[in-house]
Amino acid sequence: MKIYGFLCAIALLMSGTSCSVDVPSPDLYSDPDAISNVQSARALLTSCYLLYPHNEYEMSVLGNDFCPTSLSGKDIDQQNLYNWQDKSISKLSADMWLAYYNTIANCDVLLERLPSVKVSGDGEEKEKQAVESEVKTLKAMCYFNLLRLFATPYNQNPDGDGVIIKSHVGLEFCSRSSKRYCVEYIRALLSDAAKTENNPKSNGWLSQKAALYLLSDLELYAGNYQEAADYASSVLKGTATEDYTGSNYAHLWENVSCKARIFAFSIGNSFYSSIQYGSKEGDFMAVNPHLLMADSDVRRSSNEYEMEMAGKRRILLGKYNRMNKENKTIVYINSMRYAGALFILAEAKARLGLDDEARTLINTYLTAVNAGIIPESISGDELISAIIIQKNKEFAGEGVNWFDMKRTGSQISRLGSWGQSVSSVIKSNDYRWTMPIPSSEYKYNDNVRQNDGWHINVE
Amino acid sequence: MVESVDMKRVESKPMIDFALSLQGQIPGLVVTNTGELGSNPEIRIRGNSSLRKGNTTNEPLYVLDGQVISADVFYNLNPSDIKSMKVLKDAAACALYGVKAANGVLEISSQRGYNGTKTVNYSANIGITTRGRRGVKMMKSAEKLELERLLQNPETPGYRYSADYYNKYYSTDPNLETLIAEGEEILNTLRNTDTDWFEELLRTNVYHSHNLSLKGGNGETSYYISGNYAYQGGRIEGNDKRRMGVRLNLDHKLGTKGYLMMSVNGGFSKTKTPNGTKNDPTSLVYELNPYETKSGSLWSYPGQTYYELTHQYSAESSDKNAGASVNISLNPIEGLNISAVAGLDFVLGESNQFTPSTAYSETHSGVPEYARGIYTKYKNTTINRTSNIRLTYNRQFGKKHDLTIGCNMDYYRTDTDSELMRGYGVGTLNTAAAINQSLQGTRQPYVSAPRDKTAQLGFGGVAGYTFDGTYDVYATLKADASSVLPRDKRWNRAWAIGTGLTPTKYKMLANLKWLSYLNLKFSYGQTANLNGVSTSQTVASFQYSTSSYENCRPLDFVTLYNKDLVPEQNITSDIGLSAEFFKRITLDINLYSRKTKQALLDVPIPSSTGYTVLKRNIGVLLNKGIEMGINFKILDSANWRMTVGANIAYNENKVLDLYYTDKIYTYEESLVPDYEIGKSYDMLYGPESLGIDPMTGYPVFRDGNGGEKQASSTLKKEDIVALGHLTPPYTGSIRLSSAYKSLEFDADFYYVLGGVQRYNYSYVRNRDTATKNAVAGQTEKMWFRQGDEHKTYWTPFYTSAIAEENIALYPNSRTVGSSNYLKLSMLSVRYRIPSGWMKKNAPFVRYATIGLQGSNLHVWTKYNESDPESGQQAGTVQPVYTFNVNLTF
Repeated sequence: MKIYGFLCAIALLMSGTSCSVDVPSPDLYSDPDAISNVQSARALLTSCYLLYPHNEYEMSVLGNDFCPTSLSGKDIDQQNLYNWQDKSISKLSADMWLAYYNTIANCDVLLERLPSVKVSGDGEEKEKQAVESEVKTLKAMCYFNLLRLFATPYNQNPDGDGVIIKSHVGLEFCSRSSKRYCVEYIRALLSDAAKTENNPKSNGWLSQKAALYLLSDLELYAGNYQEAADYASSVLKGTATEDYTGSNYAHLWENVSCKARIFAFSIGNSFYSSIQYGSKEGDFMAVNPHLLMADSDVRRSSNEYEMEMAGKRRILLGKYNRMNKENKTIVYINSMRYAGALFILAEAKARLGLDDEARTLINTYLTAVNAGIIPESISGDELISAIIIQKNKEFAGEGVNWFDMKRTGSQISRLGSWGQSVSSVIKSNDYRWTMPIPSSEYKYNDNVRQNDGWHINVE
Repeated sequence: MVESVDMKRVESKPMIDFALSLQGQIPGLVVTNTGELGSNPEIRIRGNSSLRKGNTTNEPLYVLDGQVISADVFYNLNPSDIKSMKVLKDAAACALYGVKAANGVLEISSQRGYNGTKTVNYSANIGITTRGRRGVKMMKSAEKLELERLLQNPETPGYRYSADYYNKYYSTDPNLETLIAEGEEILNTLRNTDTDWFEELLRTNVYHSHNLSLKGGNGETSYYISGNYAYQGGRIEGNDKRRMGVRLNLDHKLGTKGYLMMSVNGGFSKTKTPNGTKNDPTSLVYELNPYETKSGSLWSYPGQTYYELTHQYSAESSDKNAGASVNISLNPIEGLNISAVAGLDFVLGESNQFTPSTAYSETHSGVPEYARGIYTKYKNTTINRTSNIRLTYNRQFGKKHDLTIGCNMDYYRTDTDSELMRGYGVGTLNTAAAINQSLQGTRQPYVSAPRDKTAQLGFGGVAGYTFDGTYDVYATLKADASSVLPRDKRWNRAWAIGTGLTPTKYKMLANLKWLSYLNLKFSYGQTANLNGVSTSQTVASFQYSTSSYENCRPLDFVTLYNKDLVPEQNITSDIGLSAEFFKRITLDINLYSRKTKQALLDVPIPSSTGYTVLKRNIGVLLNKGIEMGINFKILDSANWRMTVGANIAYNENKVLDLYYTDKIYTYEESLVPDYEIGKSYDMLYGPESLGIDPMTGYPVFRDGNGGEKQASSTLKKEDIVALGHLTPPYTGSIRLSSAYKSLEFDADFYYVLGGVQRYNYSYVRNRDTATKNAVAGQTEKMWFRQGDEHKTYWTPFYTSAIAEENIALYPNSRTVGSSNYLKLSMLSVRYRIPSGWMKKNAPFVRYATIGLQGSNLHVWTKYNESDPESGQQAGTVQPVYTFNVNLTF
């Protein structure tokens, strides 16, 4: 009997001591210890970079970048998007809304935890500052894009509806802030970020220059041309035209870090593959004939891709599309380039009435790339238009043009196959320029107002 | 409320899925088949206790010999190894299991040895499984070709070779007459082929199971050893299931004051299926045309062959499990019992899925040939550890008082460790070795290995008192902690009180002839439920992901968390009555209500939060119902025995309160809230249809004001009515047992009432889908042109986008059908061979029975699309017919 008693005692002891409910999940790091050092903060920031949506192609389809090809009818969704069909725009806007706010939420998760990140030594302190500056810039980028997509142009009633500004991570039923407030909010984020001297080596991290670039773009959007010009100048300071023309220009669509970029998203997935129907058959979209480069232009070999389609040599988009066609891995998606800063500066100067300065700036660049220059006879509003046309050519297919057209109140033509005819025109006051607030928001948030022209499909 | 399962009846059902054989055994224990052979069933005790659907949150707790086992182990238990099985339904019974037992408990005790001579038993069932019910009768060639002509889709031979076609496109051709004649010849050839794809694709298969057991023992030690094997073939090629298992139970006396019980068991089960998410060969029964054959080209799937269609995908999954448990029970002083259980349950689940490079989905995926073919392998190990200690003290005094007090401590821990590997470019080789590891981008090899650990610790107490066998009261209290919750709100409480009365103990009732027993019971209690809640939902959690950015590894924020999350609280009250009349008729009635407070749900939130759902405590939910069982011993003489039993369970649910709002829409396109105060939460909603408009060919709905509304106008909330319950509220069974001398006859019927299922009408073809076969009679019942009256199916020509959307999004009163059915779930005739004959002819056999047994033999239902139980065309429980032999040596 004694031996049994002994056995029981052991059993009791074993079960008693092995019982603990403090079992952390082995692959999960939870608060409060999860984000406690700069390494984990950087890792979380990395995740935020990866969440940023890439709708460069879809925005180019909506913009003036493309014309349909003989294959466009094969993908009815793309064709509908090209024709600005309500349903297609609604779907795209719902995807973008969620993706940008998802990135914002993740940035906020990091921002809320940064104060408790412990550092030791100068190196770590600097790294922490860099992380803070980058996450603020990234968050500002998201808000800026949301504002440009979902609000009417800034110059039409700056106190009208902007977008929702979140105050913290989690459930809130916010109403839309005014455009003016949104701009102030984004400006504050970027100004904060621009204070940190952060000059990472790779193109994939948001540097101090990237914050300054965004500030110049924001001020241009808000009509503060002097500030826009100042910020753009500081971006360009210390950079020569050669840095973003010639072979450096070609590097923009190659899988290496390059001087012509201020910032580019690093990616591991496929990108821009939607434009292609088949490697032998060709693409759904071709470059808008109005945006083609001159034969002598050094940018031409990068930007355009010649291929036979429907029995003729056609000019398709180069850039990422060329990389896909040549089976090259896309490593970077260009987001900010020096050429962009130059165009912002030129436009701001022109709008400030400094036509000569603006013309000289743009012509220096055009000469460097061997393109035709803007003659001196052109000035005033015509000069501004000429600068924007040059900018549209430069950025064709990069998802930039739609934003400029919306900002400048342009109208957009929908073209027939190969751009040989105009099938319809979308006026500058068309309601579709302002994307609809998705039902995933208004259905569950009574405080949000839908944009004019868009109906709420379910009551 | 505790009820026992009649294991003999369960054993009489020849079916490989043990869980499904429990269907109809206990009122309130609802088991539903969800698909083809081998798919996991849905097991619920008294309905869903949570607003969250699915097994994780609503499945009961399975306990084998005091040890918690995982659902996969339970599904594959061998019924012959089970001595008894109890279903614990109310709070009073479950409170001692604490937070894990919110959905009820199934307590299983395995067979044990005994003191006596060694007994060897062998039993086998060998037989066939048949195709089952033909859900929808499809067209024959002549009718199909005529339909095709009417639908005018040039991709179908019925139109392409018809005179209509030639007259339209070749009207000026000088050879028009010849063309028409040639077309007619082709059509005639097609008309002469009539393939019945139900017969071709589905097949009868075999079923067999074998069970061998050995038991015996001496005064000190007794043992039970068993081994079993079962195989059931599916009705479609590539679908089958097998399982085998062994068990060793050893009991040993510890002196005079205690004993030791040990169990070791191991099992293996394997399921194969050709049905994947993208391919479903069973659906081909409803798609291939009668004029097509296995060898020819297919109009229904242009460019594909029959072989390719049936070899698009294969999946295999297996479970290997092993368990061991030790139970020590000691009585150091009279009345005091100390028992300790320690158990380990291990399950290794493995599955692999294979899509060959030749599958249509691969050849048309746009990826280069060297990257085609997908191989996925998944392994998951689950280890459940249970340890508990119970102290119980029982004392009787003064002859009339009986007091029990006890306390317990228990600890459950679950560790899961999974590995998933997916690779591409395997071609036609179903192996990981063929993965092309050089692929980049979307087709690069993928590996993930999630792990999880959870633990629960509980302390409980129990006290009970009975006076003179007439009155009893008891109370239980349990506190337990879960590792899933943040440290400061980890502890939950469960408690229950109960009381009982047995009036037949009163002198005035004791001598009543007609009432031999009467007992009344009442219990009330509360348990918490945390099932389906993970750490990342309660506190900000982060996880490294497999992608990279500028050579940095991202640490992903898992999901939006809710730091205010608390467990659901189930408050149950139960009133029960058991009575026996004339010592022949027993009657059990139970009324229950279970209120779930702080009910959890993934509710949609504004997408400006960056997320679309958040787990929140959203409201109060009520389940209430009644369960009744009656058993009538009609004959009970030396030669004749006959018993009839019936049971019925009714369950209804309602949302009593929502904390933040009065209605919740879970989908953006919902017109009617999925959860609304005062409404049931498993309703199917849609407009009431008044029939097909002879002018437009689309249905006309009744609008909110009682007027008419064309399907082509947008539906509003007022136009929507409740069409019926998706989960049938009534379930039950009827059981018949009779015996004459050595001949035994048993039959079980199972029925469900009051539910509806939506017809998906996938077999009704319109112009676009005309290439696939259609339901017989469609030509008659479909609207084709203006003036067609009294039609069932709307126009096959797409004329209104809104109408098409209304029909696709919402069921209406004419596109749902009652899912009521009655199933002959078991039939058994057994004959025990007289011992005299045995002694003479086979003296080594002690007892022998032979018999015929069948399961799920027939279903009577008005639901005329496929299977009323699973609502799927692929899933129906197959009938099994077997010959049974049982020998004891």
